[in-house]
Amino acid sequence: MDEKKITKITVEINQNISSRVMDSLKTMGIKNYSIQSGRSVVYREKSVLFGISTKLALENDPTDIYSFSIPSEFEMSVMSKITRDTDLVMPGHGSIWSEDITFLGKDSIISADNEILSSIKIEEVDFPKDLICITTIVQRGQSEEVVKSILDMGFCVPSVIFGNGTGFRDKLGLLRITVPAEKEVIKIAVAKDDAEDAMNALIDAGKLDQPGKGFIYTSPIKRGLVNTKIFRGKMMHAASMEQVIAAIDAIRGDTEWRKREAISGNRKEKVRKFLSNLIDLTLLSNEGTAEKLVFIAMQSGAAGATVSKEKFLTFLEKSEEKVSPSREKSDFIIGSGQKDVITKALTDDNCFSAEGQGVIELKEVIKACTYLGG
Amino acid sequence: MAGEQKNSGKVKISFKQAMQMIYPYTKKRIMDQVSAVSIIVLYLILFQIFILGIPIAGASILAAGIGLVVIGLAFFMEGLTLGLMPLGEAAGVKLPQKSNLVSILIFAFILGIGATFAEPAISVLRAAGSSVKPWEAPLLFLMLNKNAGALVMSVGVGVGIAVLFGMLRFLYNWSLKPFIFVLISILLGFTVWGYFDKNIMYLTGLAWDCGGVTTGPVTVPLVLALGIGISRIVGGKDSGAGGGFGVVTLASAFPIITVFLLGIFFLGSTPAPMSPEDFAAPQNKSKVLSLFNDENELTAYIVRNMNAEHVVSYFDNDEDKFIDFLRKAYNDNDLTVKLFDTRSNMESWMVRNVDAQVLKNIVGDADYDKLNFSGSSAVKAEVINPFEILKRNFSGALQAIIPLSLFLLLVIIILLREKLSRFDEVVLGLIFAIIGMTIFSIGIELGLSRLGSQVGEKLPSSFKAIELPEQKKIIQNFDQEFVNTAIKTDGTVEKFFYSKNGNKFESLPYEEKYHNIDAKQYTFIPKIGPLFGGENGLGGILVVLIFAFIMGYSATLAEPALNALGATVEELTVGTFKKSLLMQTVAVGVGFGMFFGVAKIVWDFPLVFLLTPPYLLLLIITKISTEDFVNIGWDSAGVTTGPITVPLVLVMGLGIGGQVGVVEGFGILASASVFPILAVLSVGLYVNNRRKKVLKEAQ
Repeated sequence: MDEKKITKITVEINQNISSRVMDSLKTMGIKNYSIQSGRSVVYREKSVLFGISTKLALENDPTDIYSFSIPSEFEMSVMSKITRDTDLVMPGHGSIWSEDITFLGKDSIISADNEILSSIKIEEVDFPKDLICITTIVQRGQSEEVVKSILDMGFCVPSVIFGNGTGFRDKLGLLRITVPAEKEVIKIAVAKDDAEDAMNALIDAGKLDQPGKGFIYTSPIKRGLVNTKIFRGKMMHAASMEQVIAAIDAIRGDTEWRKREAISGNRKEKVRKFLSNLIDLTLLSNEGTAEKLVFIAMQSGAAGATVSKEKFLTFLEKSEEKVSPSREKSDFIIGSGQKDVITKALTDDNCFSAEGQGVIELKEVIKACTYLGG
Repeated sequence: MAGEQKNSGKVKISFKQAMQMIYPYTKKRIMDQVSAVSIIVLYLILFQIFILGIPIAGASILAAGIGLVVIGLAFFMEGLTLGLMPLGEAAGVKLPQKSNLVSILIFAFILGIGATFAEPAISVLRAAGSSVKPWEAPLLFLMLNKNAGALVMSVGVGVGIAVLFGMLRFLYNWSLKPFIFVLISILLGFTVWGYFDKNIMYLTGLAWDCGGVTTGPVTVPLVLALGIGISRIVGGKDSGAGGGFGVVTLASAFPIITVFLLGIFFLGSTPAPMSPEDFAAPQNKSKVLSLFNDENELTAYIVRNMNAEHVVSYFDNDEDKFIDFLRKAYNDNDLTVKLFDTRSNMESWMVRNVDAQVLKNIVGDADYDKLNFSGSSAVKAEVINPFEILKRNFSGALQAIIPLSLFLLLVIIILLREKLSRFDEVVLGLIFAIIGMTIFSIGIELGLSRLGSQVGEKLPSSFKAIELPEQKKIIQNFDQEFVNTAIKTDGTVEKFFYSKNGNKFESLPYEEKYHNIDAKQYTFIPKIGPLFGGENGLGGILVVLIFAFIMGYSATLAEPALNALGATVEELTVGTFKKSLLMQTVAVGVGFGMFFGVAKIVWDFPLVFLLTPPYLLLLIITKISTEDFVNIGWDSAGVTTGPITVPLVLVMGLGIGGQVGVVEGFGILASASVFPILAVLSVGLYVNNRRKKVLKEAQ
């Protein structure tokens, strides 16, 4: 299998207007895409004791997370069209971002109609560049601290999906049932300059450097427009703070101006050990095959994976490839040295065969942190 | 994590380490159930002690039983998540990919029928109809007794058709709404018809309740998981939570229709309701006989269940014929067993109901002396045989879980030639489910339903005087001369006598029926109530209704099938529809359902008034709700009536029904199903409206 450099675009959108994305993709001739169910979390001002006082409560909204890959040259036109079609510039609708990835797998799974794509003209949308995606994985039910910390720092609306962890758990035999596998995966996008502070703050909030708490890593985002509508409540001004920020972002074309000093306040500086030189290996395969493929990857050195379910949709009339509509997405964070061994092991085990219809996506991980023992 | 890679393969775990892992795991699951069950238990106990003022009888057995419920539920819930649900889901994912439409439909139909036989609801219904009199509701009596087999079959076929249509819905992405509109309209039509035809009226209650009880704690999670699996494979756009739900709704509605159809089939050959006199009249014998298997059964029923003058009338007004019959029955061992089940049953029955002289005549002098007169009227101490209880509940659990899961396993492994991922986990889950179901059934039998019946039977004391037979006293050497009379302001006279109890003298009401003049004994049965207000006072009834509300609410929170549904909804909506919100909503709905269901029994108003208004309202709300919430809301109706609620509800319904003299306790279950739907859909409308508003604000 040849490696191919392509661009992966992800759109997270409020479920009530989800069909707009689907319509937009259809008109652009993007034939294959995946949907995951997620949720966005915001603060809402809630009146207490019949309006005497107010408090902040978390409010969850269902979202659909679309992802698809296209040749890199169409990135701007596709992103700008979706943004226009779905009014993503309005805070509260959703987010869109693009990542450069290395793709291994059958072309048909990412096939798009290049003719239609090249006919789309780039619309005028200013996407902030050079963002960092921070992904935090915690035990199911323990996301609240991390989410609150994100909202308190005012970065953007976090996006949460459910997944299942494999790894140490699966080496326990039947005793594994005593170790909860359910995870929550929280993603945010922040300006490059904020990334380090944000990551430290999240590690503190989720106590991620302590045993059994979770994992956090950062990866580069090429361009992105994130949902900044983190607060719902009474409007006191002609424009909300989110609208002001969005407007300035648009004028400046970046988010660097939002850089603040020492976000996490007077945190005591401690020497934190980060992992670096890593790669995010994502394996997409038909439902039921992930368990075996993850096992193979683990035999060749991967520490474990986070597996989540996604729905694969295709507009292709009759696909010869029997890609199941129900797919499993296994996310591994591996050392960059392991990449070849693991991809080879997966390839040797026919992960690209008709049964699994596997696809491997690789992207750079800047750094990661978890409990490293002793 | 990535830095130092461990070798895969199994890790050696010492026994101590294993225990360190199992302990928190077990503790969490037990504590979950403790918090689920404790509300209902505490509530029942506090209500009995502080409101009704009656001590708890047999507290140690009750406590043990409730402990078993907790442990059993913990095992069972874990069994559902590890075994049954993954099994259903795997079948759902694989089936549409690897087989054709016809085999999917056949599979669905068999699964539906199998589910009904696995969780026999008929015993529950029989209990609800146990006080049904063949002269008052002949059709109902016929279907619950002679034709009970046909009734179960019709429910099975109903569920089979329901699962079949459920699968078709997923495969072709049909909305649930048209199904609801058509099915509910038909059901309401039947119910209105029942208002005008007495036979159909009693059937209506049975039919509605059949719909509620078909969906048990094994069927619901299995069917739910199957649906979720299938809708992950098919259906393009609907990635939301709507996919996967809805089968439970159909499985509640279709059996109601098949039961109705069965009833209509039998209607022609069933006599119309009549008075007890007509029922016992010899000229009606041929008509009445159609309700029983043979003449002996009819005779036995009349002898055992009707009062003396009706019995004599049945024997052509000739008492000798009756005595001859008893003699024949007493001397023919086979006949004794057939009529009275056991010889001692017959003996104690005769001691209670037959004149001493006649009795001597029937059994002969020698046997007469052997008859046990003392034990017959005393309340027998209950004997609990642990092995018998264990055996019965274990085989019940096996029957509920093994055939269905084996069927699914065979379909997956042999028909679809698929490997089941985490097979060991599934097997462990099934074992957990069987252990759990056995334990919690025992616990319900020993603990929860006893506690429920203690409270339920005494509950009417809040609005009327009821007897407390377990506190009865027998006064020796009682003589007519102790009886005094007292006069009330309206001039009526009541008799009473004085009794010394400890150091106190108290006056007790005298009733002639408790005075055994020959034996010089007076049996005194204390009475309690009305505790709140006068006889049948509104205050007392309100206490009962509020009790029903809170009991419905708190019992629902412990229902395993609802827990499974809630967890599934939370998982599929990525936490945007919390399990706790769904459970609270459904529980409040059940509370209202119980409130109105008990009101129906207390005031004995027709079922049609109980069910028609909420269902009509429901049809409107369904019309304007989103597909997601329609599916989830209607499905939650099916899961409310499970192993925890049903015994408590029935006991209470029958207890109240018995005290106020109502024919049957049907209808509460149906009522407990409709209000949760209203509650969930209302919450759904509110949530959706707010989400839309928020989105609009952003624009």
